Amino acid sequence: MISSVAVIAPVAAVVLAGVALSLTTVWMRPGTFFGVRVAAEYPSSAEARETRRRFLIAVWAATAAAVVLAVLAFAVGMLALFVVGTLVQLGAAMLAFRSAWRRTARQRVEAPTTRTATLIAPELRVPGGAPALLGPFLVVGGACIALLVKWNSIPTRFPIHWDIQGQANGWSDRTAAGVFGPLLIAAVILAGMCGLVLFQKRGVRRASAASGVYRRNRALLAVPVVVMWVIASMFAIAALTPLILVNGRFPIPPLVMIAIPVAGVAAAIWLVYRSSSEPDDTAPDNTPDECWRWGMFYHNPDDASIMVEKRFGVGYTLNFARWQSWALMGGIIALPIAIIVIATR
Amino acid sequence: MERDVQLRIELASPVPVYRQIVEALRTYLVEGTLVPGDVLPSVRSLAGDLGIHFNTVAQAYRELAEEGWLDVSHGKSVRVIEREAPRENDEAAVEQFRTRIRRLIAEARAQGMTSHVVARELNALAGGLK
Repeated sequence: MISSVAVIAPVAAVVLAGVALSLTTVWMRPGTFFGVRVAAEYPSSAEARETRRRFLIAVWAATAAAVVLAVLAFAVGMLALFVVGTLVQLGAAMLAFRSAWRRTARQRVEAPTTRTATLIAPELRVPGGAPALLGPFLVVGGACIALLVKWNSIPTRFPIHWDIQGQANGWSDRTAAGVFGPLLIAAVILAGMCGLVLFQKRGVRRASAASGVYRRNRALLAVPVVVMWVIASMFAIAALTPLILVNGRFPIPPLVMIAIPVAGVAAAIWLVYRSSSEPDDTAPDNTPDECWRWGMFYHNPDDASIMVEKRFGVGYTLNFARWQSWALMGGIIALPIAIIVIATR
Repeated sequence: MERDVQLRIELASPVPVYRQIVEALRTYLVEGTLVPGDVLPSVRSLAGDLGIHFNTVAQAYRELAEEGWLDVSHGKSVRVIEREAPRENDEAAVEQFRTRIRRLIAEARAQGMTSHVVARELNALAGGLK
């Protein structure tokens, strides 16, 4: 018998991914269509509507397949099926995008020869400033101090994981690794995200404070800050578990524990939406069309920029012709893998 | 009050892009739109915004640095600096400018502008620059 709650989360994740992939057809940089620079009126043409329709059909067919595989994964207890389903969904969306890009390529127009750039621009500040960036570290540090002070109150063996009925099914010991492990992992993740915020702050397009691009950059900068607070809160609560247990049970209702990341994700989505609704009122996209591989990956050895604005979706992407981009990608992939390896040793 | 200073280039122009950048920035520097202490975009950033090769921007910045307008020390931001005043009335420089202005005036007259209009424009522009 499949636990309905256990299967809802992965199915919801797959459907949400389908919604996010569909938004590709809405969030395209003005003057571009599926990664191709086109005339301003082209996106409303019959051909463009047909391209968009084909893309959406492919995305939702793949999403339906991924949903079936997710349900099947939990029915037969093979998590690999869920992973295969998400890969199928992503792969199909990429192929559909590539197909739309090729179809649109015939409508490509030359980049404007008149170019402008903002010379004097205010420094882009992280929303909330230094306290917003340092706060999550203080939350983790505070939990660390509380555990040190109350060390003798920590049971020698304590539960750290519960099933949906509230029965403990995972345990840890009162050792440095068992008690401070979650906080160490949190600190590493937060340091990585802090670096990402500073990298993003330096890499975005300069724009005057009154421009939509400036407001957009600030909203995008707030997204990782929100994620940092959610991570710090969740890990701090997890680390403080041995101090807050009541008769061996976790005292915070599961709904509250779910509400924290959900609120964080909602805030991040709202910020992304807000950033996407800001007008692109400074220099338009000057990147060469031929450097957008498949219309989605930017590779331009003649461009010293590491970050360039996306042609679809919201925010920035990397210039894969720069080694720094690969180093960053490697770091982003290696960090969670390293944490999982260390945590499961 | 924040200043909105824009750099505009024309790729289709016969004037090389690096020269367009030098001339536009020099104009801003002479007329005081850009002042000592101002931080300009890095080579990487300006090249990205304009969609041109970074060597083009680097060449323009280098030339302005050699003229004493910019500090482009490696690893630092590009900063406008206090420039040592050049010698007044350097005869060779005056002669060079005279030649260039003569050509410009000839071009303007050939396009139908009267000498009065040319004189008025030159006066207005010279007065506008510090």
